[in-house]
Amino acid sequence: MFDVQDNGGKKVVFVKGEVNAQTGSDLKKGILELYNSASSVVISFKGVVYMNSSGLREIIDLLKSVNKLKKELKLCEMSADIREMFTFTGLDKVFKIYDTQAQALG
Amino acid sequence: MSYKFTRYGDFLKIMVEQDAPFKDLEDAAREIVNLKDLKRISLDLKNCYYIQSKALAALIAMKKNSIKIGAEFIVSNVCDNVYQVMEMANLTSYFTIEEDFSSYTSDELMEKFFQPDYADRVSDFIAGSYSDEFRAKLLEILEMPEPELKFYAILTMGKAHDYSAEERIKKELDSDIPLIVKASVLVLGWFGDSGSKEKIYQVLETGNEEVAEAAAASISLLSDESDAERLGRLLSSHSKVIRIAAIQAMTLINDDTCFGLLKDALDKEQEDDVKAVLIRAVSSFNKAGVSDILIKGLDSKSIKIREASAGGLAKIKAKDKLEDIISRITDTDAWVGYFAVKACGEICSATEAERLMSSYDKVEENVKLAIVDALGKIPGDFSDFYMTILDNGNEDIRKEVLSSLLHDNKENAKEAAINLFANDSSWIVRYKALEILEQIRPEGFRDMLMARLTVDDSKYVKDKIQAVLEEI
Repeated sequence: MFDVQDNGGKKVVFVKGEVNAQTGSDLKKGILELYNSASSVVISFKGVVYMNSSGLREIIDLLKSVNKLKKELKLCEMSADIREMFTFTGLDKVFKIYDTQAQALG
Repeated sequence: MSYKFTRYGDFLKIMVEQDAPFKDLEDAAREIVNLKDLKRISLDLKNCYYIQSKALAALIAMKKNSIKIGAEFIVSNVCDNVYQVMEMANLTSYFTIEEDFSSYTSDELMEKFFQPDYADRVSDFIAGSYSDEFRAKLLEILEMPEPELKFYAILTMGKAHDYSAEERIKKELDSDIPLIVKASVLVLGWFGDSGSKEKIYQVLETGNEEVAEAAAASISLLSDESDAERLGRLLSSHSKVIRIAAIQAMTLINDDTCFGLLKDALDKEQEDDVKAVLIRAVSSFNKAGVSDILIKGLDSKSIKIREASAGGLAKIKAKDKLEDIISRITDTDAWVGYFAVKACGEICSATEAERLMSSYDKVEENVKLAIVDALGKIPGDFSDFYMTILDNGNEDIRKEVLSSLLHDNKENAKEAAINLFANDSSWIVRYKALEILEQIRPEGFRDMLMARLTVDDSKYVKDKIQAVLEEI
């Protein structure tokens, strides 16, 4: 479902395949665990083929939890379709979204 | 003294009063060298609406003295008037100029919601540094009559995840002002407030264009198993706005029921632009049969549907339908060929690109142009083919070919650009050739430019030649 890379104290999560209710929930749990050893996580959507509103809901839930922890969550490398989902729901105003991994890490 | 130093650890903020005498600024600059352990110094011009040009020397001294003590120097909150003075003195690139909303009071920040250039950034800042003071101000705004302020106040509370404001935001769903309803609908969707879903359906069913999309988005975020069927019923609404909003919500929900209902709607829908939205929606589902629907759409009489179908085939990279797509390149309707080629650009490999090149002589101009564009997207070196079509009568094709040549084979691009820069009848092509030569910088480039400068009859090409000559 996802790979993790350590990048100078920041974790980069590379999500693969579909993000739906089931995979989204697993992804949320997995990423929340990463905050035990990191203050900032970047999620790369480069490998995401499909995402639906249930998956999106899990990502919103993840952000809520991250904000409670007073830690940082950034998103990057979205396809035009995934980006459009964030724009359509207005969530592009809620999340920190970057075009590239380098910008998100910067 | 018309300036004030405030230190926050290794960060120093220098606040300057309005009409600060330049002598005071000079004093401030001198003081910097005596400071220790600073990493960043910010000169905040929030209160300065004008600056004397001689005061700029003091700003330069501040930067120099900051560097001397090893600190970065920035100038923040520069208003348009001051920026213009700095621009006239060529200093805008010398200084790092930033916005620092932390210098503003909460009232001043709320006022910035009225300024479209600032509103989004101010909202982000408030959400990022949310406090009880900000919360109280935003709630105050919700009692005011100004729609713009209320819109940003609601969005800001949403961005800040202020769930304690949920009940207050819900009340705004009854507002007469679509902008306010839109903000409330979006935020309640972000909050996952399922209790508002019924009300949001009512908002969608008004068919008001300004709020329907937001309602569709939030319904999808709040959806459960029952929503696909309910949205499906809206696909037969008399209102086009409602039908499109329902399609958008169902695309986001993206389950089996939604797919089945959208597929059925494609057979019943009468309006071409809604059908095109349906085609795009269907292409977002990872289901068997999607590519068949899209191939069928490629033969539609409607250009909008053909475009949506080609886009869909490219999006799903329909390799299994490549033969069907390629066979349409030479269709008697040139637009079918055009969209088929568009899809090929995203799907074909170098081997299959041969089929595009062999079709080139059999198709009309718009398809020819699409072939050159598609080849540019396919990995491989097609420069031999490009060299054979450089004499095409269409200037757009010659221009496009030059760009593709540069991508595939720099040596051939150089040869072609030198020839077309000197001889092509179209200034658009000569201009493109010049852009390519500017990148390659061939031997004798300067002489080539000088020779062309005297004979070229295009103002645009001459201006470009002058600019390149100055640069080299």
